[in-house]
Amino acid sequence: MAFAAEVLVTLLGAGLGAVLRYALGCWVNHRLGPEFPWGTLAVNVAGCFTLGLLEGAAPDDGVLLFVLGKGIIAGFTTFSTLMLETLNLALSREHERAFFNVVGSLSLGLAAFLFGTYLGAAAV
Amino acid sequence: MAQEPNGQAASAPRATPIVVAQATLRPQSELECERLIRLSHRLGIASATAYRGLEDGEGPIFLMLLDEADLLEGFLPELRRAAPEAPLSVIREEAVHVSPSDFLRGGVLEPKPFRAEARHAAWVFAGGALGAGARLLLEGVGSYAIPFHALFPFGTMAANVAGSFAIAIFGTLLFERFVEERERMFWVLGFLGSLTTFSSYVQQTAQGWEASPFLSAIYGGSSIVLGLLAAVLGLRLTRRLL
Repeated sequence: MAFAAEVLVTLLGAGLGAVLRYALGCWVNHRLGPEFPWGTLAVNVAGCFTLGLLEGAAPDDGVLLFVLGKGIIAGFTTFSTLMLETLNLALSREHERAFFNVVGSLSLGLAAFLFGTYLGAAAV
Repeated sequence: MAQEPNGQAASAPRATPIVVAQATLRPQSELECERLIRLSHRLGIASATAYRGLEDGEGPIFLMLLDEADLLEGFLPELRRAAPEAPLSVIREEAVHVSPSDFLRGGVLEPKPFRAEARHAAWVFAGGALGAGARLLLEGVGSYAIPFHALFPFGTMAANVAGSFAIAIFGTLLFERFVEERERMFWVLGFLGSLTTFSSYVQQTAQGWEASPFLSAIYGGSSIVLGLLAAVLGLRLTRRLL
């Protein structure tokens, strides 16, 4: 029964994460213009950093990592929008931007995750 | 560009003749039209307006671009490159604006202010929770059925690739046909956004590196490649079926 409750909280967290992504992503896109999908990049990097913090601070707490990592944080970040926006950039013949969108998201995401892990471990 | 009108007494308000050009393109699809409008905005063309011909409500699409002639003609090569097959015609005329000479440059492209709307947020929330359910299901099935799932998380990968395929279908439908805002909020921002995940993907790639750099690199690379391929496939398929 406890597992069912964990899953429920995870799903509700993912819904909340999606709403946060909607709000933050649209706000960033509005501020930084339509030339590049900054909103998705910001959301994904922020999500990776937060997950890194959690991973560093509580590497052995499987329940917390599941509920937050698979819930609010995973719902907050998105892979599909990244793919669609990359495709749209490539179709608009903006190949450099499309390339940077993929490579930049991946390298910044990894860096943010590793940095978060380091900070989280240092803080505990 | 702005000249003093010849032979006229300086009268208020000052009339500033400028040469305006209007380019009309015929994009081959609404998707192409959308791309050209995006490009026009990026270039800073003063006005880009799309409209349909009148035949049966499904007539050809026209895209009308308006700007000062010299500026617009400078943009034409790039527009041609972006849509080599779209017929293009240009007219120029001298227009006398009783207004500041930077009339065409001012304020036209100001984006609308953004406001998150509560009723949208409700649909995003519902879609997000259900999308996460589908992702957990795929990950659960993957880790149950595949023994080395921890080393190579097929379940997450399946969710990410399937979501990329579906979002390309929705993206194309958004451009080519009408998709209601509510449906976009639920399916695209909610369900598909939450079905797919970037943070878990990065986490798995980073942690997999410690166990097996080879598998981790394959996982990281193939997720992106398959995701992009799935999106291209979704787009092509939808455009063919429409």
